[in-house]
Amino acid sequence: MRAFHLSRRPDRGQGSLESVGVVAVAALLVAALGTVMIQASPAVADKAAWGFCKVTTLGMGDCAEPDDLSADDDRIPPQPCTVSSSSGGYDVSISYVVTLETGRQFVVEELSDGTYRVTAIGTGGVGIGVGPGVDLSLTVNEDSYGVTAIANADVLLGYEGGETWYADSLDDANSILQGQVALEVADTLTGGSGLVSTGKDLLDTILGATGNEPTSSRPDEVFFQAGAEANAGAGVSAIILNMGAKGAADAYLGLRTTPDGFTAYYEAEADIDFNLFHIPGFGETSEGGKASRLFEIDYDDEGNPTAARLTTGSYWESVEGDWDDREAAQVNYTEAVFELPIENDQDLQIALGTLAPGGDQAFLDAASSHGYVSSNTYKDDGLTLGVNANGSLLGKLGGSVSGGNTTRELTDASYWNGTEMVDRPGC
Amino acid sequence: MRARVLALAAATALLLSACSSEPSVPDDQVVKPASVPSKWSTEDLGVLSVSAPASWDLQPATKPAKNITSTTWRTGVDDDGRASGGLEVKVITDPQAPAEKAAESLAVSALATLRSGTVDPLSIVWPDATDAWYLAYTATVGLPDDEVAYPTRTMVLDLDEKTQVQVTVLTAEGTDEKVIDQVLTTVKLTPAE
Repeated sequence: MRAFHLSRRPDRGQGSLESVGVVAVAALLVAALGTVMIQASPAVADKAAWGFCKVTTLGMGDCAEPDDLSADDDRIPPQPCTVSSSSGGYDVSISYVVTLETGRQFVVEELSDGTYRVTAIGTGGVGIGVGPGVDLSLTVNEDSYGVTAIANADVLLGYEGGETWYADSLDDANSILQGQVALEVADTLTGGSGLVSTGKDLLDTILGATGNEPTSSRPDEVFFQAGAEANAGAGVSAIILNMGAKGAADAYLGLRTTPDGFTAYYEAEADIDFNLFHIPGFGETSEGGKASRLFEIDYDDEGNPTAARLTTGSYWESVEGDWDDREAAQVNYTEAVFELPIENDQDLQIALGTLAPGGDQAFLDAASSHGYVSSNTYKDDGLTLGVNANGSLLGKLGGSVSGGNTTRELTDASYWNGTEMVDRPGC
Repeated sequence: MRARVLALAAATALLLSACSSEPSVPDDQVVKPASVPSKWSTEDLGVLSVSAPASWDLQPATKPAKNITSTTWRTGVDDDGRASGGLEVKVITDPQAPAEKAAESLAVSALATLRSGTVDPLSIVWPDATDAWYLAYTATVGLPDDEVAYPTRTMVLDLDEKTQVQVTVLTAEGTDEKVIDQVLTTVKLTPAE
């Protein structure tokens, strides 16, 4: 049972931000992302820009409210929000992770609609190359800060061929999990790869407790990673456009099959001008950089695009009491999601244009006008930063976090009702 | 005595032949090895050789990743730098996935990025390959008001656990489409010594 009950690491909080005033700085980082995007368009004062400003600045930005807003109560995003998530091998309420000796992990999550999601993660682990990494690192007064922009980590946890099952109840989720774990262990035994006693104990425990035999259940979703070795678009563009050409194919991250069709994932870049951060210590000559955002297009089973989503996220930190008290520090993660249903050629053009430089503002406008805008803030375990970056952040910021301990709890969810950001029911 | 020696030699030869034999390429396979057409150029890329029409321009090799060497031929390049056809050979060391999985990933990648529709990889037999897969689809490139269709073929070949070759050939719709399969027929793997 060890795999179910790993204890919390004693170095919780290591590598977190420390200095006084970090909330203000982190908030500026968040605000800057919004500022850059909004400044890309002259239509700053329209309701789309206002909604985006409200979301990305967490209400702290100077967002000019337009006069001609009309309310629309039917703007709640159709997809359920994740209310809790954990990764790393210890129990957290009803979400948990099983980590096998083979390195394969199974994540169980409760969704806001009461259903459960079981995700099998490849042996490569979480966050290798793709996922909620840190795209920018800044150093201010000798302290370093990370800004992420690829969000929606749960989707990409299935890197290296992840599989996902959905269940109506926790019992059903457990049944799926038990069958898959038993299969995994049985495969290992059959393969003669020297399974250690923990895995055998786990199998015995599972089978003894449930009476289940190893069973195979077809996953509801399968994630295919792209990568340079499996990106057909990159090869074709190498021939047609010559090497070095940048296009949608180069940004392609992978694809997830679903019962209704599939979703393609792309990495969309945004130019970031560090001068816009207005952070003390950054001179006028500081360099610019790129931040990545996750862009998704849903297709039906006939390959017709049905919806597109743009997700951006940021980490920020708040504390209660003394900043030097690391244990009191709380890492927060806020992600903003803009979704545009694709109902005609114009919507499709706008969606595809998002992958082109400067093309995202039209998408944000359209999503705010007749799509969905939502914002979720999660309280993360203090180790989340290090784990999510899984080396990427550690390499930039230093620290000793290793392994996989992550918890995330939804603390605030809101959506754009056509007039303002309001609390999202059910989240 | 001489008859015994001859019989032993024949038996040994038969055994050796049996040990080194590999499945023969089926007659009805969608693409099969063939001789190089005249006036084509052959390039030796180490673990394989491949031929292309002499008019196709060989580009300098690049490394899109540490373990990948990409060699590209292009033809029919217009004023905007867009080619009407060509060939790309990826030689991959320590591939992240075997040929079957790689072909599957390429298929969904084509569906997602190239508007190919569903692509079903075909298992094929190729001399000196431990596993071989073939994909045929039409890639659509460009925004809807400026899109071009490219019939495309890809072969994914595992030489061993450490080496994989991906060969992609395409040409713009309406041009000589026979050439794309013809290029694939010239792929010749070099078995490790």
